[in-house]
Order: sequence, then structure tokens, then C-alpha cells
Amino acid sequence: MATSPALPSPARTGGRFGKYLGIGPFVFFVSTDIPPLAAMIETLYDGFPIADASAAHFADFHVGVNRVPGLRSIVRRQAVFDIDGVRPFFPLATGQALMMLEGGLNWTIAENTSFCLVIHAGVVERDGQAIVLPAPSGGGKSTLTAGLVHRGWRLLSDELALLSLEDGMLSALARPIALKNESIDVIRRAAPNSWMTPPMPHIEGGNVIYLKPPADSVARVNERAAPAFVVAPRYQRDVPGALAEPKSKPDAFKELAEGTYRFSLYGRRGFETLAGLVDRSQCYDVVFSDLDAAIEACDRITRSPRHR
Amino acid sequence: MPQALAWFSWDSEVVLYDERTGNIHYFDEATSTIFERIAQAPCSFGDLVSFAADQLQVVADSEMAAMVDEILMILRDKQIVAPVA
Amino acid sequence: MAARDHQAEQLLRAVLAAPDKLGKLSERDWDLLLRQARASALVGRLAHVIEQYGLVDVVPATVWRHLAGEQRFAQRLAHDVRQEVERVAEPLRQAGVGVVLLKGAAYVMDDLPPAQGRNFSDIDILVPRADVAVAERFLKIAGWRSKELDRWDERFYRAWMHEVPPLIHRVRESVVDLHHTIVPQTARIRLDARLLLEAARPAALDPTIKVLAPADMVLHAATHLFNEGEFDRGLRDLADLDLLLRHFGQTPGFWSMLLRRADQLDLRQPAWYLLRYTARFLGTPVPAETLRQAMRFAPAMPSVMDRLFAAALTPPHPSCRGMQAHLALMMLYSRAHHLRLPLHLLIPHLLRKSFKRGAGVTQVDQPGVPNLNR
Repeated sequence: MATSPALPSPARTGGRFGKYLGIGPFVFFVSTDIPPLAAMIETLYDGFPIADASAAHFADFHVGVNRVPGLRSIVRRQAVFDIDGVRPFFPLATGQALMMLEGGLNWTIAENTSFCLVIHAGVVERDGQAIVLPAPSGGGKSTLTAGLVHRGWRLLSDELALLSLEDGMLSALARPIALKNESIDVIRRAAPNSWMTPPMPHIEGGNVIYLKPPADSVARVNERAAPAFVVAPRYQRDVPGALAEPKSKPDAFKELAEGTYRFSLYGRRGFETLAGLVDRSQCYDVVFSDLDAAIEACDRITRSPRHR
Repeated sequence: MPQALAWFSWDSEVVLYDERTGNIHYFDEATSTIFERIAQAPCSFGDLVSFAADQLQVVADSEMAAMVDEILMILRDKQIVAPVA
Repeated sequence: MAARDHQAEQLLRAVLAAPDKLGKLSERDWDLLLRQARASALVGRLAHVIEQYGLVDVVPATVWRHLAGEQRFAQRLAHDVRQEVERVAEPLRQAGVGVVLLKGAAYVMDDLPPAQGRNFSDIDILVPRADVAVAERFLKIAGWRSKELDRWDERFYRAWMHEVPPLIHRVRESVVDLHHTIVPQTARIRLDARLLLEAARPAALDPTIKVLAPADMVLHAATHLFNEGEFDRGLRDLADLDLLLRHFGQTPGFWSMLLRRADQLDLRQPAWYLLRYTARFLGTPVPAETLRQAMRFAPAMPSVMDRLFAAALTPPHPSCRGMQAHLALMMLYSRAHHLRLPLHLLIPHLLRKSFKRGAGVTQVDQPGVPNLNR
């Protein structure tokens, strides 16, 4: 089991951490006045920085997680996510600052991207073929994504699939993977050498940790992938191992459409792009109680000869 | 066929986008069969019933005709098809 | 904080006034411009301006993709608005009530420049006072319901304001705001809404639906901007006025009609601010003669108002709104209330509002939990 190594001291500008991070197609300027958060960003996003705060770089978004100002001691221990002066969320305890940042980054991309479709789904890739993993939160998507990633699949994202309106290719973010509760132990066993943050309380109850993305996935973040499979995972306790069922394309399309942020605003182009993804992919449901079995099921699906 | 429609057909099931309303329709097999036939070219009611019965492998009886009629009513209501001459 | 010159940071305003400046922007400028545009809901508009001036090639690809994407969204929204207007017009036709569209919906249906690249929200319509009840009834039959308000707000809306509480459609969640005049009933302005209704004309895209006459449309937008004390969309509203004036200004007789109507409708001060600030901040070509004649509409302390509005008609963004701007905004907010309500109504209302405001942070969604409601 990996323990957190001594965290490096973060880059400071007058007591604040601020860096330009190249995250796939985006440049984020990320800042914080909370030292433990700064240290975690340095570690988790090692390989992402493209410039220091002093560089007058272009950034798609300026975000931060900062202490809520105030004299009352209870208020002082709170932090809030900020996007360019706007605070879309309630403050949380400073100990949950990383969760605020990760959630805030997800929100920013989901609600402010108009040049490609943003789908609530994981994406992994191997041998030039990508699997899109749509699923509601808590269904095992992140666990399966993390499992696949540690069995040699490249990580594009555990949460947000970015689908180009131009050519139907998927863009990568290669960001840390959020794992909750039981998934934490499952992945610790499956990937003992990966770096994980200490657990922190999740707003929905239980714990969450963030898994550092593999260096190879980060190095290849600008490499886009062609979708070939849509696999909707669902964790279910009473299922033996894993069951993979072919899924009708209308059903697969419906699920993806319902998971696409602001889908109606993309109009006809959005419809054609998403239907195009389904059209060229083999679609499945995978219900599983055992992660290894689910990974094997994905292996079988992706290695079997193509049928239409 | 209005220019505002875009659709994909997978295993005799049509998913249709109507640009005018922004709505997405998911047609069952029978509706998809009828829709796709009309999309190819205008068709008389009688021919439509025969065609649908043939595709769905059922008898072209009055029950079938009633179903085709109902489907056409729904498609007309959504302004996806319109009677011609 | 010492008085800081924010002129250097009025990038968006400067670019809208002189789009050729776009050819000379640095990387940092583009970063700031995009952020100011986002804060101001002017991203789609900026895209439109860039295209109109043939300047797409000077925009870095990483910036343009955001602008073009928002522009496409805006086009879809305009389409949706047209659809929704028809859905609103139908029950009102059945009710025998004449529909006059206001604001954004009017710009779309009359095919006016401010409709380009716009972020639409509610549909605002003006009906005769006597028809409000029947209009509301027919809309409710067609699926709209009143937004939930507590008793105080509801009473305030109906008795003292110029609109009924917003109506939200049960299924589509589109919002209709019914107005029976364009300024609050308690306001110091004596405006006869019948004059507006009488002068209303058919909309370009659907002649069965009406919009305000050009001068009235401009004065309405100006009154809304300069008298209602809300400046989150201040720059956007000013940009709309600039476009409307440039568009209507080409019609002979428009400028003198504008001044005449301002007199008739008792909207002289908004007219003065409108002409002065569009010219000053966005370079609107207001004829010198019109500006001269409008001088009689000037307020008592023009230089004070100049400074307040200079600060308020800016993007709501940290780069260009410092401490001074916030003070100016507060003063304009109180002024708006003063215009809207006599003192004996103002104080209880403000007290109630501040009590309800609470922590000041509004939750939109939880981190990591997607909002799929669009």
C-alpha cells in the first residue's frame, strides 16, 4: 500500500499558489491560499504545469479554492471554489478543499464548454480503440475505469468524455480519479503502487480519495482517441463476477444523450455527433460484483472479432 | 420529408431528431418500419399496410390497418408526415 | 485601496466601441477579454461582432472555439425563443388579448441586431392592464403556473410592481413575465402604458405578434437599464441600445421621434443617459443636433451621474470593478429604489430583502454532481 510521500513545498507568489495547468484541450489557471491543497496539486498534477503565475499566459478558465475570509474561527476553517470571481457552490471545510477543486473543475468543463460535447462518462483507450463508459455516479464507473487503467489501458478521463463535433474523436484530460468508499480498497489491492491522497470525508457521506493518473496517460494527454465501444457499467452485489450483455443502439444513444451536459443547445450537430459515436461503436451493458471479472469482460468485448 | 429531420436507423429502430422542436423521438419497430418506407418515397395507405405487414411478418388484416392508421396519426400530429394529394 | 485607474482594464468596452483594436491584442489581453465577455454574457455577441468586421483570422484558435461555440448555442436559443413565443401567443389569442413582446423576445421576433449572439431567458410581454387577469388564466390553462413566492413578495409584485409574478411552464420550464406597464405603478414617472400599446407594430417574423414602436423600444430598454439599479447585465444592455440606435437611426425622423416620445412618455432622463453613454462608451453615432436638443433632459448633477454610470456600465468582473465601482453600484441601487418606491414603502421592503439574503452564497449544484437539466 502506497503512503503519501513527503509533499514538495508549493510554488508561492506572496503566500498564494498559482500555476497554469495544461489539462488536455484546456489551460486552467489554478490558484489557492491553502498550503496543503497546493502541495496536493503539485503532486497530483505533476506533469501538467505549463507556466508560472507570473507568465501572462492565456487560460481558458481561472479557478481557485480559497479560504473564506472572516474573523469567526469556524468561518476561517472553510474554503470555497471560485471561478473568476463567481462562487457557484456552498463553502466546505478546508480539509475538503481538494474535493472542491476537482468537483469545481468538473463543473467548469461541463457547464462552460461549447466547442465539443461533454458527456458524463469515463473514457479509456487501448490499441487505438476507446471505450466510453457512461453511468450515473456511484455505479462503479470510476472503479472500473481505475481498474482498466491499471491493467494497461490509457486513461482519458474517469468522469467527462469530450467528443469533437468536427470529427467524432475523443479528447483526454488524464486527471486524478476519484474513488469512494469500498472502491478505495478494491483499487488499493489492484494497484498497490499507485499514489493516492489520504481519505477525506465526501459530502455525500463516506470517504473519497484521489488517485494520481499514470505518467504514461499524462504524457499522452494530447493524443485523441477514436471511439469503438460503449460499455455502461453497473455495480451489483448479487451478480456472479460480471455479465456483459449487448445493448441496443437506441438504448445506448438515449443513455448517452441523457448524460450529455446542455445537449439540447448543440442542436442537430450534437445529435448527429452523438448518434455517430453510437453508430460506429459496439454497445454493451456490464453488470458486475467483481472488478477483475468486469475487466476481463471488457477484454473479451474489445478483443472479439467485430460484428455489426 | 421535412429538411429539419435527421435520423439514424439501427436494427429496425429509428431515433429521430426534429430540428424544429429540438425533440428526439424513439420509434418502436412498427413505427420505424412505416417511417422509413415513407422516407424513401410517398406511399399510399394500402401499400403501406401491405409493406408493414410483410416486414413485420404478420397478416395484412384490418387490425394491421388500424395500427398503421394510428401510427400515421401520431406522425402527422408531430408534423413528421403529411398526406399528399 | 487608492483610487485606481481602471481605464486600462475596460478592455471589452473598448473593443466593442472600436473592433479594429482586436488586431492588436496580446495573449494576456485575449485572456482578459474572454473573461470579461463571459462575466457580461457577451461572448456570443463578441463572436458576432468579430464575424461582422471580418476579423475571425486575428482571433487565436483557443479563444475562437469558445466564441463560436457560444454563438451556436445562441442561435439554437433564438430558435427556441421563436418556438416558445408562438406557444405563448396561442393561448393569448384565444383569450382575445393582444400580445406585445418586450426585450429579448421582441429582438428575435422583429429580427433586430441585439438578437444576434444573445443569451435568452424569460419572455416578457406587455398587455393592457384590464386584460392581465384573463391573460394569466389562459396561460395557466395552457400549462403555465406561478413561480412560488411567499405572500409578501406576491403582494409586492401585484400591487406595486409592473409585472405579475413570473409564470413558469409546467413541462418546458420556460418563463413568461406578464407586464401591464413598463415602470412600477409607484414610480415617480407618470407613464401611460396605453400610449405604448397604441403605437405597437407587427413583428418582422410574425405579423400577428406585436412589438413596440422603435423609439418606444429604445426608451423602454433605456428606462430598464438606467432606472432599475441592476448592473450585472448593464454593459450588455448598453450594447443592445447601441445596436438599436445604429439600426433605427438609419430611418429618417427617428432621432426627433425619439426625443418627442421621451417627452410624451415622461422618460426624459433615461433618454438623456441613453444618448450620452452609448456615444461616450460605445461610440454610437448619435447626431450632434440630437445631443444638443437632449441637453434639456439632463439631470441635476450630471458629472456625479457620469462617474456613477461609468463605473456601473462595465463587466461584472474583478478586473474592472474595484472598491469605487462597488460604491457606485450601491448608490445607483438606492437611487433605483428611491425612483421606484416612496419612502414609506421603501424601508419595509429593503429590510425584508436584506433579511432574506442570508449568507450570500447561492448553491447551483454539488461538486462532481452533474446538472443535466438543459
